[in-house]
Amino acid sequence: MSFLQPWMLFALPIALLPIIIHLINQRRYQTTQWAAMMFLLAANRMNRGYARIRQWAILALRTLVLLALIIAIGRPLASGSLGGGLVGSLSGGSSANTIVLLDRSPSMNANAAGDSRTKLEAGVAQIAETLQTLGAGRVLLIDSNTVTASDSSPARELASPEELLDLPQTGPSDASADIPAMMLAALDTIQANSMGQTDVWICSDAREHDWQSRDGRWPTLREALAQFGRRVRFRLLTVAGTDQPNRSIRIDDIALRTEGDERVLTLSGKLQSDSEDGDTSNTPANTSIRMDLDGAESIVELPLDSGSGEFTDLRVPLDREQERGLGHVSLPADGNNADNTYYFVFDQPPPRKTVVVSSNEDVANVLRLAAEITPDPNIDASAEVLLPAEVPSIAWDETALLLWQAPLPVGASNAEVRKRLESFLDRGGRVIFFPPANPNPKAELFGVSYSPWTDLKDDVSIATWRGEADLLGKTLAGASLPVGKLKVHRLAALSGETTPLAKLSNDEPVLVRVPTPRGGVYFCGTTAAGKASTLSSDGVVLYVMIQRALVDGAASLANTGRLDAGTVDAELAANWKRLQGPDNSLSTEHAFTAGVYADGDRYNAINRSAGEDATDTLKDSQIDDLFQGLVLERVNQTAGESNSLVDEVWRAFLILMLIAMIGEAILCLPRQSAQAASPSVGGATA
Amino acid sequence: MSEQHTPREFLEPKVLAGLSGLPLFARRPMRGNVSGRHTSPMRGASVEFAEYRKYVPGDDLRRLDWRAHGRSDRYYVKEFEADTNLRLQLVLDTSGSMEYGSGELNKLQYARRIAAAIGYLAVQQGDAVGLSCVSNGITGHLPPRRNPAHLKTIFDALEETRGQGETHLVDVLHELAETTRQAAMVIVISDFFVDPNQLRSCFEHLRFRKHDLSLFHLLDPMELNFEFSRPTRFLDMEGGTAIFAEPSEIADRYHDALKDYLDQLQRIVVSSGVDYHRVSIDQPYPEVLTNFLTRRAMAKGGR
Repeated sequence: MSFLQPWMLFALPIALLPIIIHLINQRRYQTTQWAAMMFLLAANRMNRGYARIRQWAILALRTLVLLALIIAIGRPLASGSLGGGLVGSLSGGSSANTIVLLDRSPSMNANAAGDSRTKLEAGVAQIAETLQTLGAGRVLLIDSNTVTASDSSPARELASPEELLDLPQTGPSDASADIPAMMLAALDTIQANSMGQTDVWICSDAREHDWQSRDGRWPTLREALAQFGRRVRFRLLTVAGTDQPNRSIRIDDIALRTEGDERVLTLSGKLQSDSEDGDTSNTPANTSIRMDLDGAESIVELPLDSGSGEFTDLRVPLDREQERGLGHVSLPADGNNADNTYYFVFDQPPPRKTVVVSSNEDVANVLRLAAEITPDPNIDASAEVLLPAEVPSIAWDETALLLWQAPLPVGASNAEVRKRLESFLDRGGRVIFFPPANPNPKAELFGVSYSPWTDLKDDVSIATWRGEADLLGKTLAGASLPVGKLKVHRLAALSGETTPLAKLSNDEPVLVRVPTPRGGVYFCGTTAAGKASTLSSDGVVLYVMIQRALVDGAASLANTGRLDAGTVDAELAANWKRLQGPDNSLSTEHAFTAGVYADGDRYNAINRSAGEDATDTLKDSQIDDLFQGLVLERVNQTAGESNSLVDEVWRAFLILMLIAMIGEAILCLPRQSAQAASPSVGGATA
Repeated sequence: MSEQHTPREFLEPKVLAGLSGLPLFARRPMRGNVSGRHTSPMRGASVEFAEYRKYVPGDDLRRLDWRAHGRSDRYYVKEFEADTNLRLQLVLDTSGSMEYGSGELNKLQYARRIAAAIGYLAVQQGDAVGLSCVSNGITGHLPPRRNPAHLKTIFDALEETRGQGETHLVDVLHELAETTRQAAMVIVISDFFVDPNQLRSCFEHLRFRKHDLSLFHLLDPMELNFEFSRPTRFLDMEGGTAIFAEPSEIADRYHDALKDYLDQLQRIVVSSGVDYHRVSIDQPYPEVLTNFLTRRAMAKGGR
């Protein structure tokens, strides 16, 4: 049992008052002369059991009355989930500061068990009511979106816990939560405000995707938070979800094709059911979805055998004239409505134009070929080879990729070029630098410079490379690129602060990425020339590298964008115009709300991230591991039971007090027989 | 005779005047030595015919009933009832416990009033009055005399009584039963804080000696009700060990003990034919006396 006013428990010794009074009374006895000693002696000889028990019972009841009164004033809570028992409530009670970490990820929008509300709504309502009951002092809200959006103080101070119910920042969103970041924000808030006793409420459904239990920030967090000891207590509120089946839909790829005279939109995606691996009996076998295309709704049958699965190339015929458009696909309402809709936009694929700047014709040729030949015949790709002197004539606005195998544009004379290059990169273009014929070690661009060429005695192969992502990432099927087969004969060593993507066996980086704000700048330590490396002869790696860079660069030219909620700059997105999506969301939440937005001429479709469709949740033991050394109380609440997590039971104690008082009164009543024993006076004569 | 003007606190002329109209009767024949208002076991010279008896030589010839002789040719002596005075022995308990009183009067003061009033009434109607004060033993003894001057001696003795010492009532009553001449009236005024079973033998002894025994059992209202609120150390007024008690705890048992005692005493007085008056000393004593005298008048004994 815990208490809302635990300091009242310090008054518990008052309950001993009747006993103390009794003892004092015993001590301050009166002395009287007495004649009828024979009756007292007789009374003393009698069995005093009942009288003594009665005395004790009266004392006990009086003590109980006070005890119940004190406890009732202490406002006891029936639920032990909050206090950690009497000791916990004595040491803590309701903290002066409360930080609410709110996971607003789509999975929190699943329906709560036995309730018409979502888990998020139920959780927020429960926290609000509980904090209200507990009389929380200062309440700060850190929601998953604000943490992602702003770097400075994501904590929002609330006037009262009820504000939680009204704030838009507690509403649903489509962005994934980053629990470690939220924890860090809470830590920063605690440190910045020098908070004393702080309760950190975490309202989340413990999805692995949100919690990122393997994230490197957790150990740091634990270490930092452990310093606070019991000053900071965590309370994890998990609201039980409903048993309703849930399906989610996702469009992975959308393409606009021209087939003869017709224009066709091909969609590839996934219809996922949460009961996929188990019981499928309650999964509707219905595979039809509702599609909204530029406001026109239709029912589309998915080419699936069962109620779930992946579909590819779902053809949707379009108007012959239509070149771009937007829409969404949606499923009927189910266990979680947040993953029932997926927005898409489509447009003519942008031309993939590459500019090769090189004075070496051989190299330029190889690069041009690798850029020009596309894997998809429907896509236009072109490459232009320019000499370094012709750089000013580059049509930057149409270029997706720049392959630069020439002296780095440094010095005052190249200021204009550098400026253009930076704006090109800012737009989203990609550039890969290759070493020039005579590298100048002093020429430094983006903090990187080439050392003079060195001939490697043996043919050195690439020993390590980053295969998980970026230019040398594995294929979609999971196969690694044959990077290890490449041989490097000559190397212009790279110096500067970079992220190596591939290293030679002598630990020299051969391909690096420059950590610029928008990314997109790569330096290669060798060229595609035959005497420098086998990049051209073993052309797969070079081809893939260039095509990947080209696709990325071309995306910046497209008039459409597919974005994961929460990954866009919120301020930027606030200026976008909503074309489709929920009407009630704030413009500041555009970046976190699924929908189609117009950014000038460009359409952006924002959807939940792919990780949200994964249903893995953390086990209790995993959460315990994450909070090892910290004070964590788990509050599992079934929504619909009660809004508050705490039940005050002071009434029961008042009733107990009344019963004790009545009992005491009954015991204190003069006995009827005592009255009778008071003898009548008078006479008797034989 | 300046002493006679000294008012005695236990004598209230108004009360005595009020009571003077009520005679003090014995319940059984008394053996007085002068004529009085009480029946005597002897034949005497009253106007009330008792019986005829055969003449035996030596009888007074003046008492021969010649008319009876004329009718039956036998000698009969006509006998009449005798009226005599009584000898009243007042027995006053002067043990320590009699000093207790929670109200205006203590038991001894109350007892003095009763004793003085009865003594006065008895002397007024020509009866002899004696007084025995008892505590450890007989601390003062005045044999019954009917001389009005003797009353003063008795009042003096009453005035001097002080409650002290233990109650040895049982022994004293046995002794008085023996030493008092037969067929006297014995009035015991005490709180009777002794074992009722021992009292039974005393009462029977006195009855055997043909005494008319009356008891005034004086009890303080506090002793009857035992209404203490605080823990109390009870000091024995007769010098016994003190007892510490929590009244609220012990009250029930005290009442039980008191009730047992009173019930037992009641049975004993009923079986041994004692005129028993239980008096709570907050009652006005004239009322108690009036009650006593009235009941005696109604229960006036035959011959």
